[in-house]
Amino acid sequence: MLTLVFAAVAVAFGVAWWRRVAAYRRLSDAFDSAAAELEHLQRAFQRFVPHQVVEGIIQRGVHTSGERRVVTVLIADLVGFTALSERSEPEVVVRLLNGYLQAMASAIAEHGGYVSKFMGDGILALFGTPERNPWQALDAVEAALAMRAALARYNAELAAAGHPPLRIGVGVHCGPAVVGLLGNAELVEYTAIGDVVNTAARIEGMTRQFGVDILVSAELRAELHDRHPLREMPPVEVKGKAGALVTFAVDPR
Amino acid sequence: MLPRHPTEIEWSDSLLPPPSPSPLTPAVVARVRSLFGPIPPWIPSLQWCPWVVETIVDACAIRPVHFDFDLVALLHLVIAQENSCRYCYGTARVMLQILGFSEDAVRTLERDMLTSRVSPRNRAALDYARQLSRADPRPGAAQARVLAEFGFDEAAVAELAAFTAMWLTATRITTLLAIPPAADHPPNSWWLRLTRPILAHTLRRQLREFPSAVPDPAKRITAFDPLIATLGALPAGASLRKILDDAFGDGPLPRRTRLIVGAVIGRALGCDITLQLLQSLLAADGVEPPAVEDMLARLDADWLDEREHLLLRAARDTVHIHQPLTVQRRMFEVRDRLAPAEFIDFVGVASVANGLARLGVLLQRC
Repeated sequence: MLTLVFAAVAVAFGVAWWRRVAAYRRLSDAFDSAAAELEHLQRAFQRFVPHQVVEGIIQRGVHTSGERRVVTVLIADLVGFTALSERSEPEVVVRLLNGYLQAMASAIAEHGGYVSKFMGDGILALFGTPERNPWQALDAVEAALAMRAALARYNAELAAAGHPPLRIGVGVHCGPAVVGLLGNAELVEYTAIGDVVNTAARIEGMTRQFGVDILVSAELRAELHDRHPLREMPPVEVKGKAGALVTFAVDPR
Repeated sequence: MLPRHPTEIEWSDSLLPPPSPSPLTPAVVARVRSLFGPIPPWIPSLQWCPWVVETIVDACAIRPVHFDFDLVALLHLVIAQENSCRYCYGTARVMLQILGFSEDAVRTLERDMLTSRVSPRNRAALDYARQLSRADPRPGAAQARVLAEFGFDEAAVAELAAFTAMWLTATRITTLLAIPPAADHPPNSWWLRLTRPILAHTLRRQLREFPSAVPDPAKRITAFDPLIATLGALPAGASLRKILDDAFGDGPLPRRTRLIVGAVIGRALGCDITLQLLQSLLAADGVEPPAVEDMLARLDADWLDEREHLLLRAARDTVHIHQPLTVQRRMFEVRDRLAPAEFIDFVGVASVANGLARLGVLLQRC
């Protein structure tokens, strides 16, 4: 009788233990699966914001705040892209644009830049953030030169496929900005805000006026310490600016 | 994003040169054996520069005074993970398993180092080490206060910083040379589980009794005295003294070249202390501070020789390593343009400078 009781208790304990282990395994598997999914999301999210920012979001949540620091801003745009869009099929335009953006983004990343956003055919890249970089101005110009070289290679591919060549305008300027996760509750992006961005955009626009592909500001030139051959362009009065904007074309080396 | 397992880290083919024909001295062999057991297969390729072999030993085998071996092992894991060093990450996992962490516990640590089964005191120390390793932003008074709340006095903080800086030096050497990983998947057999207590006891005793580094007074660079003094009589101080004297004295690369490499890394990390120290040494070599400043601003100078031009750029690449493969690919060009001894020397000097600049950042309290 006693043996039977012991056996029944042992079986009951065994069943309880087995159910507990099974429940633990199910929970553990579910946790691993959730963790894997989260990691996958984290990696996907890195395509949109720097990995340092992703870690900050995981630890502290999304806080749309910025930090003031000196950055170098590079803005690039395709010249005559609107006309190209009008006379080509949308699928062709998308294919050309993707190839162009890929080539430019690689050249920027290769020189330590961070592509903050694509704006149609335009590119906004930042140097000196999220990691500080004492050579951000040099890197930005090296990136612009690499973009020029990459575009030449891409144009050779386009020519072989019977497409007309693309031309770019690149404006580079440096100065203080607020950088960080900026936006509202629905949409945030890692970018820079400040006059430095607006000025870089104006300088990029001036490439068409001067018929050159890369223009840098006088402030940026001061940071280059004569490392690159530059050609001074005539000063241009710009709306909203106190003085005329002096720019320099970056000649091929 | 930090790697969650060593195998997640893309790692290039080895950059090790062929083995050196000259053997290590018996004293160095004895120290290597007491750290690694059998001589690792990559050591002969480093013998072109015996000081680099000694630096690895001196950086890895320091007896801690203010914290326990569990924290040392965790520090090793954090620094290896932070710096994406596949070789060191694998060895850190093995070390933790020997110390009694199960594979599940190690995975939990990897998944979330700062919220898993780590005591609040160790967590604060690891957080500090992570920030020091990144050096952007730099840990300052606020972080030191957090450590003080957990009982870390000034000497303990200095020791923690020294451990972090020297572990980082070792991970840089193994990463820049792409030393083949030995322990991506550590053994987890029944015999290991059975013998783990004995192994853990042996490992702890080995680390506790590991002889301190013995700096050579003839090589002493007095410019480093104020930095070393902050570590007092800690074993970490002797290790740091020896490592710095070896890295910035004479070697296969000229002293000037070594100092230039260090200055570039100091500037990249914004460490004024490192820059001041190395500038004073460069001045003694005939390069005045304005010339150094101009070279650092332009990352170029007319007075640099061809090899220095190459190493100036390469030094920069060693500062922040998120994707080792990218840096390792660039190192192939450096290796192919230098003699084996010069290449190993460059890797050693750049790695030490990376550690020094982080340690300098701490002492600067900036």
